[in-house]
Amino acid sequence: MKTPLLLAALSLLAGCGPLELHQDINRDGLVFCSEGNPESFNPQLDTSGTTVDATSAQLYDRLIEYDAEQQTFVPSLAHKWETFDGGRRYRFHLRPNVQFHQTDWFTPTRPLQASDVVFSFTRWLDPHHDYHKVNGGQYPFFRASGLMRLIERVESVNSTTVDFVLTRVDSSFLANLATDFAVILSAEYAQQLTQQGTPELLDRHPIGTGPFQFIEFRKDLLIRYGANANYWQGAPAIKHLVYSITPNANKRMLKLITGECDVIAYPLVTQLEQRDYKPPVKVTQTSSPNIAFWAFNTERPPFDQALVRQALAHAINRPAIVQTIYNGQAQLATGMLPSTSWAYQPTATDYPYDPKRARELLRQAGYPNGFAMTIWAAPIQRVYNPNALRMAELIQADLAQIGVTASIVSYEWNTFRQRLARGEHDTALVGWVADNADPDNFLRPTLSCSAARSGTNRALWCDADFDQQLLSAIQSTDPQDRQRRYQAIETYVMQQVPLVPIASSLRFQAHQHNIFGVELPPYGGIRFVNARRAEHVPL
Amino acid sequence: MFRYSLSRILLFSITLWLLSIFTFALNYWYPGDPLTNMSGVVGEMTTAYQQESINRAMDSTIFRQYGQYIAHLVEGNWGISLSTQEPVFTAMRHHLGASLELIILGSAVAIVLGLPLGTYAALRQRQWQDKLIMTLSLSTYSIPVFWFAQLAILLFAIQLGWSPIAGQIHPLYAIETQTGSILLDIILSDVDYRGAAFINALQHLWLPTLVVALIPLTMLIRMIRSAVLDTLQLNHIKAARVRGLSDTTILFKHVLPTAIQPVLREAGLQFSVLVTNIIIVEVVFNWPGLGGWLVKSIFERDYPVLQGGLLCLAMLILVANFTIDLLHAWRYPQTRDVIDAD
Amino acid sequence: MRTKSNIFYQFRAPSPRQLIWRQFNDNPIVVTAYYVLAIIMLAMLFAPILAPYSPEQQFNDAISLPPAWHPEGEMRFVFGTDDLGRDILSRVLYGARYSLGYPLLATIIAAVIGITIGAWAGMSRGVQSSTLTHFLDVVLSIPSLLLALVIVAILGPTLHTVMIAITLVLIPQFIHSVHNAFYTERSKEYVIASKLNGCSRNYLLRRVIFPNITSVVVIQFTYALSTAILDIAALGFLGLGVQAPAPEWGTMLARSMEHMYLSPWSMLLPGVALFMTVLTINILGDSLHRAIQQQDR
Repeated sequence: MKTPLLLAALSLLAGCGPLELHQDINRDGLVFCSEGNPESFNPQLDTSGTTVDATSAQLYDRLIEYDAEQQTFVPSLAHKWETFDGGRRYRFHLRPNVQFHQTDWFTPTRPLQASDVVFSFTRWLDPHHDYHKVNGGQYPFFRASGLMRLIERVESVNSTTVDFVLTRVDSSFLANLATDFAVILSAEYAQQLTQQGTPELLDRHPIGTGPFQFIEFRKDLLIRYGANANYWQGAPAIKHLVYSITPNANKRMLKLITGECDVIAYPLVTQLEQRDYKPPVKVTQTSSPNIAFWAFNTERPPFDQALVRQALAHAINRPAIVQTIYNGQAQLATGMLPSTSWAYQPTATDYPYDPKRARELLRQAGYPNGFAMTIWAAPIQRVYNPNALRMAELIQADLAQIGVTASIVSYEWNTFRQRLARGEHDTALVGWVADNADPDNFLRPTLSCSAARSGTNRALWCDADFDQQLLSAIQSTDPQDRQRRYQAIETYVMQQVPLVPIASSLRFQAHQHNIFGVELPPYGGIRFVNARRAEHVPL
Repeated sequence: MFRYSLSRILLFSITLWLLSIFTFALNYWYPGDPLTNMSGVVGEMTTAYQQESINRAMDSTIFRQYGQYIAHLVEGNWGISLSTQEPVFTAMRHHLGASLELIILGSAVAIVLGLPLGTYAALRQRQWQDKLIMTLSLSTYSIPVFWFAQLAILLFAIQLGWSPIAGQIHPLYAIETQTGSILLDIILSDVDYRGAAFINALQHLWLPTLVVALIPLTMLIRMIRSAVLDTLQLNHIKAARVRGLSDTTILFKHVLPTAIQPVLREAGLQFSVLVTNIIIVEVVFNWPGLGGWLVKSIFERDYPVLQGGLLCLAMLILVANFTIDLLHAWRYPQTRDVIDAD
Repeated sequence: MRTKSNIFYQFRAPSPRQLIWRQFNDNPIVVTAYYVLAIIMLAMLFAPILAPYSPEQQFNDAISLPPAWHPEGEMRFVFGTDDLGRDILSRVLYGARYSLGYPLLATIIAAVIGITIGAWAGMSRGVQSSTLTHFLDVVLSIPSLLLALVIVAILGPTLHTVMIAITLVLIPQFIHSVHNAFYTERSKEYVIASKLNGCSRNYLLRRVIFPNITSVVVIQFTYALSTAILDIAALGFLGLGVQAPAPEWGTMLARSMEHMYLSPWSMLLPGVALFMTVLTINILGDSLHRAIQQQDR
């Protein structure tokens, strides 16, 4: 009905639309429409995908990177590394002549040295460090992944060599070092800030070694980055990178179509496909190890009873949810591990849609007439869930069938996460995106006891048996043995059902047809270092 | 005039004082700790909190606390935002500039379009032009602003592509925010793409301005129409016509100056309608003004920002009403004698 | 013989009320508006009978269907479905309760309270009266939506708090107009005559003055009603009003904004319903206003 009109309008835009920009600005600039504000400009302090997308690959570098295709670790800030003491000491040799950002408020006097690496890690390792408590003192990834207890100390051997001493052998250590959270900060900048008396600016006016440097941040509006001309891999092609913050998914899509955005986060792919968005827009699909689940606050009755949790798991119609919310672009999850993980084994689902059984289990648990509860749903899109509010409404209707009254609670995204971390919820629709290829990363940060303390375990579930099984699995070095152990862990989790896994979503990226080189790695945030805009690309 | 101004200033001051009491009381009515609501400092055990507690006299009587609150307000210390930790006062200034831009331009559009249309309708009373204008204005007056804004975006931005969807300016244009008003900021900045940026800003500006101006426009049309109709009945107009003055002279020299008086008197009411529309339009068009800021702060439970925004908006309205009152009284001295007669 | 005969020619002058009614009937637009409003009110009262489905029922096989006249639409959903598969027509019909019923209730309560206070203030004299006037002028200059937003921010967005907010916000308007009306009437001769006759203040209030200001009250009522409807819808639109899954028109419009690209019809029906409601009320209020003005002339 509206297609011909729209195509006409689009052709008008594609030609010489009224939104033509100044030539130089357009050629060197890129607008990425993101879904929310970052909580801070240092991913050490946060696990939110929004913060990681905004900062990690743009402002900072890590010691090593992970190449998902080759499944190996490649050098980044460290060009060589070796292990000693049977795997309990890792030595990294730093690349020479890596420059930090030079901005209005900071001029580096020296390139990257070991002291910077020591500073970046000791900050969160040592509770007595000057900067430990600055801006909150919470380092959720490092606590939840176990790095805090794994690394005993970090010391510099000389100005270009750093040693990491571990408390035990751990096969996931390198994988964790390659994640987006293990960024390298500038110790010199931290010193300058301490002298100026404004240490909190370390995470708000960030300095790193990355391809882009911070210019300004206007909340709910934009983040502006400029290219780092001294980047050790060569200055990026994009000179002006702007994150235009647009929480509404539909508006993002519209802005992409009208050309106000060059690349957008979490496109509504089915809507784009239905309306013949060609030619100016391209959609690419990437694999993404993620899982959406419905977590029960196991510290709060009646969710402390496994029977009640099992009843609720039977009560919801998961295939219908997957179809409605994801429009077929996701897989129904049968456990915590997605099918892309090497430790995955397909199993039949333990909890088919069975309202009768649900009612029966509720009765056994002592709630024949149901009860009232809240479902907390995120207000913005995530990789694992394009519309949590809608999913909550579907669940609400399903629960009403068995006599459970659910009300939906939502807040602005950062407020939402803060309240979730405080455990204010009855149940929550959340999810997890893996940071590395190790299956431990799916289970430890979401269900272990240390994660419950750090706030990433939304089920607030603390089970000593589970933790022990996890530990054994990570200490084993035989992949087959590990696979068996992870299967046992999965079975155990599904019996206890502290959370109900729902789906594993495909990940998409949508951009203008003349933009190339925007990378969306499976285990990391978006990268613009190789992005460029091509002139005169035929439609 | 002097006595009148004095009485108005007195009234204005008393109202400001009442407003400040109201916002001070709000700190205690919001859920949570009153000191956090007032200043934005969290964490009861931290030194910053203790310091703030002393600064604001939280241990003594409520009058002392109120006094400190006023002192802080006047100094420009409006607390820090709970979500960004930036001072509320600086953020407020930028948002104020953006809102004022829309308000001033919207009012200008409403006046420039409304006065002629309303006068024309009055002159053609009961003919089809009058009926058309009145029907259109009544219908437009009844449209909910947010629905109209959505429809406007659907039509002009998506279908026709004449306007971008949201925002003040294309984000790649790095214009430093000095006043908050994008046009002023472009003029004040020293980048070399000023011309292109200015045009781009105008493209972003025209649709929100139109939507904001719409309802005050219709109100203005109706008011000026009835005012002109009333004025046309007056004796001195009839006398002028008898004397043979041309229609245009009568209209511009005699009718309009008198007819504007009741319109000016009601302008204060129009202004509050304008502000209501601004709040909604800023949310729909993602315009970085006071209204959008206020609404977001309600979602985020950011109480210092909520208070700052409320205080700023309320003061804006009071100042506008005060100015309009003075203007009205200065121009039409007969109205000045109405002072609390009983 | 005193027989009661019905054949009796007598000229009865129409009362003012009847005059207004006749003037109404002359104007076809007003008559249409009146009937449209009556239909909407009927829809509100009889929604459970008229609506084909329950407003919360989700049809998983019928997500975002266009209206029935569209090639992809189905007959069982005349105006299509929203993104959760709920029938839009049923939701709009039930929504009349939230978007017309509750504002009506709020306006009535506000009217009762406001008129009482305004009448009392109007009868008093001296400093009390003038402070109240000035104070009210100030409160009235602050837009109702802003006040309602603040109240909802304090109390949290539920149906009850929204009702409280809207009612509170409407009261000053009634106080102001009733107070002014009383003030003007008080100095008129018939009131002075009644006072000289020895009527008590109460009697003056109820039986003498009040019947003569009904016109003001009615006009203020229509104005306040349209304000209440728009404010509740605006609060719903901003997400601070009646929460999902309640089918309030403003909340429905906010939701439809997310899908306006692919399913623009979900934006049309609630918007049109809202528009028609407010328009008819404004038309009625407007012609009432004009009719009464003409009476006075």
